[in-house]
Amino acid sequence: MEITKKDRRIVTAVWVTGFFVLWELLAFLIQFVMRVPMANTKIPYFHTVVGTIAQNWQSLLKDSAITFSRAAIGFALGAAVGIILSIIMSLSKMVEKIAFPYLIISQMIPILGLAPILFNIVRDMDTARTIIAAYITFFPVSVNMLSGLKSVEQEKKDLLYSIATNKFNIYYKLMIPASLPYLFTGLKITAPMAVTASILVDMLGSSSGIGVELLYSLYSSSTDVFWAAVTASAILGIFSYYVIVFIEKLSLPYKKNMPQKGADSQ
Amino acid sequence: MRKKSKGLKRLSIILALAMTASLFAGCSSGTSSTGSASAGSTTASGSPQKVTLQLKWLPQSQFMGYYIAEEKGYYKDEGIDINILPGGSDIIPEQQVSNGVADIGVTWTSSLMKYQEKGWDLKEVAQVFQKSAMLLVSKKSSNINSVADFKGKNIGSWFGGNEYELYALLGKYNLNKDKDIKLVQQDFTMNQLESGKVDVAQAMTYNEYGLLLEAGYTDATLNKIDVNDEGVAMLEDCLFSNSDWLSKNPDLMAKFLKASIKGWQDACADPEAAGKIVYEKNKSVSLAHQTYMAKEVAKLVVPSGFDKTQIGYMDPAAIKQTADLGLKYGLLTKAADTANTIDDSYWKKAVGK
Amino acid sequence: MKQKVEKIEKLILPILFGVLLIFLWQAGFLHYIFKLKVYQLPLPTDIVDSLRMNFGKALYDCAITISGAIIGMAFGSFLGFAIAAIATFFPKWGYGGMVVVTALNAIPIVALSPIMNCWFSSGMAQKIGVVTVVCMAAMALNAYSGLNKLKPFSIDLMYTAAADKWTIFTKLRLPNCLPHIFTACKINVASSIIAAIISEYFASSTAGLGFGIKDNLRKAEMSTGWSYIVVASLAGVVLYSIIVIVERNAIKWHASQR
Repeated sequence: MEITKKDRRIVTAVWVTGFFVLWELLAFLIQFVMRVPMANTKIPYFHTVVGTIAQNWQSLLKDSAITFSRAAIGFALGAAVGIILSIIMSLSKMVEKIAFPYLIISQMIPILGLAPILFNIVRDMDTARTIIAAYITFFPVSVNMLSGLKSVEQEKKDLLYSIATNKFNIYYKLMIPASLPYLFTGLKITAPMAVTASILVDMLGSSSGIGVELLYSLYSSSTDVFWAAVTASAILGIFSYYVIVFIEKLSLPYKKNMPQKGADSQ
Repeated sequence: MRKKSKGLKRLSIILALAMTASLFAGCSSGTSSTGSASAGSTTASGSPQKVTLQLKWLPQSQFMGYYIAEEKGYYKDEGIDINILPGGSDIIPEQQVSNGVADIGVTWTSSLMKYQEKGWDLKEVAQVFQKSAMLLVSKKSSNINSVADFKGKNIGSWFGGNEYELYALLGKYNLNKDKDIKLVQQDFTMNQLESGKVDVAQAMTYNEYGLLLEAGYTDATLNKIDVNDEGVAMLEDCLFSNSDWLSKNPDLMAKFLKASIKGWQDACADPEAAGKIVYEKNKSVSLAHQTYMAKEVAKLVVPSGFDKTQIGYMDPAAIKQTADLGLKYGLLTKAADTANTIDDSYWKKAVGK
Repeated sequence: MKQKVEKIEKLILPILFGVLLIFLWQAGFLHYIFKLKVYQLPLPTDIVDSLRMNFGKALYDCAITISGAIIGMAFGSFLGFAIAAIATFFPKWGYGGMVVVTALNAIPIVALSPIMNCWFSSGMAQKIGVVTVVCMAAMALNAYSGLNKLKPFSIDLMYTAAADKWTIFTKLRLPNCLPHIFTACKINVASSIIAAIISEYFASSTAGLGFGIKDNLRKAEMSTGWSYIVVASLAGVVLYSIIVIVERNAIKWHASQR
């Protein structure tokens, strides 16, 4: 049951066309069968959205590039913070016990409340934006990585202890490699979230980016542009996801056939 | 688990400390860099001085005066290197100016009064919009011809400080906002009114009302109630700054106002052209809508019979009405201390009084 | 006895840290190092005062937001798991669902909320809709890796025992997946509440923590706004603790719990 490249191409094609057809059908149903008022704001025809994208592809591409590059920076920073936090927490149960509730609390503070305080501290919009993007993204990485680090069996750690390996080596040779699959799951959740974060940050008084496009189109009732921007953000999400998948394949070559064979990462 | 050595714990604590330390280092370096930036803005005349203006909302013709002044070099003529920051959904101008992210801000006078009452050290320096742009709009088909007809209806509001003119209007007609009507939060769009989820919606003459017209409604198919006609208008777009910055840069403030007033004069004289210039700044909103907005905003900045050299004039009567209504309808808890929260010296200097 | 001491230690340390933090905050230390003014970030006593004056409403708003968050989280997690299960059963055709979930994960709440506003008329339905979409991805991705990253040879063993797909799923994949499900739940606790809050910024109702936060922070009612944030944080910690307790009892066998 090996999935070949050709198979995959067919599957992707079917998914994309299926998605297209379903969307069109839904828009048609709402507009003409159910006769919902203002159907085009609920869900416009996909072909009009594609049309809008085609019309504005230059500005959309430019905005996407800006948003994506910001997302990448925020993601890198957020992931780094998430990984470091999780390692610290796995090193000391005490730190974990103390820090974790506060990490949850940190996620409860909305940007509207946080931004003014952060601006006050760093006083530079660009730095503040990067920090906010990282702030939104670090949490899933840290939760997943911590789960990964904790999932390593005590016996394995004991084995390494028994041959007198030091802490650093235990982490370097056992704990971190063993938690990589968890980490990559976390990164896959985070990568599209970083796009979301970057879009949100666009709205903090930036003058370009998908977020600006979204906000303006929402406010000026340009439904088509709005949906085009939403589609663009979804595409950016898929793209960012595949970037992580690609990096995962590079760094974990031994689990290439994972889904079929169930070969484990350990 | 019990076997964990002390060294490991120590390592983790050191790591944690290092992280907090780097956090503080980041902060202190951040603040020190701003220190030097603000020092740069007070250098002797000659090299252009940096001024950052925080808008209340997205770049649009609502703020055309500043864009025109920038475009035509009026700020440069006054030795100002202007930086116009767009607003956004999570941006509050009062906070930005208080933080020092921006030097001068645009906000609603009523909103500013609230911040001033809460102790924020901010001063109003000019009143750009002389009239309120607030309308309460309903579809003709819902047969709401006066405020008395609001009873039992769903009334939309943006809240967050934008609801007080509505409260004042309801109060004038003895309607209880909690019992006689149902208040509903409006989102950015006019969809709720169009789909009938709200019967009456807040709309600004220069923006949302125009969107309704563009969506195919006409003056004949809409009912509108103008808060100015009802005598419950509260002041909107004004310019303000924080006292600290003002005391350090009194001349700069006056120069900024002078250039801005010049920009507004040009914009109001030819709103069509002004709309086009704003559209060039950001093309997300259609040219037609930007020019529509420019024309409507011009009527607020220079109402009929208003001397256009006096743009930015702070009319004590209008300010008093705003403060009084604010106090009566719950925005403020005590009478506004206008003697200390408003300073017209910069504006007087700018218009040469 | 020793265990009991440990349990108390677990509870006391975070609380002690919190007390220390609140003390530093109240004493003006935070304001001093961050150069904040009291009107920008209110003091804990002011926040508590506002909360006390506004307690009934805050509690009601909290109930609205949290119930929306929990229902949405349940829907979203269930859907996410279903998508992961489908992708496991039909690796060839089902994996596309995972990609769709990822795409949805990149649509910001600011855009989702108005869309849901158009689809649903009540504020609650809109909230649940937004939270559902937000919670799907974390569950789908975690469940998928849990269902598929099996111990070496375990699946071969099942095959040699002539187990069918369904048996493998319930006896091998599902238990293996449980820790991952809890990981996803922990992420979703945080994201569901914040998603519910942000969706309320735009909801066509005037109830909920999100409305309270936005309305008050914009109107310079900082201490009331922050009291809502405090309520949200407490609710988040409580929900998280529930997940942790359930996790501890459900997967005692797993390395992470020892």
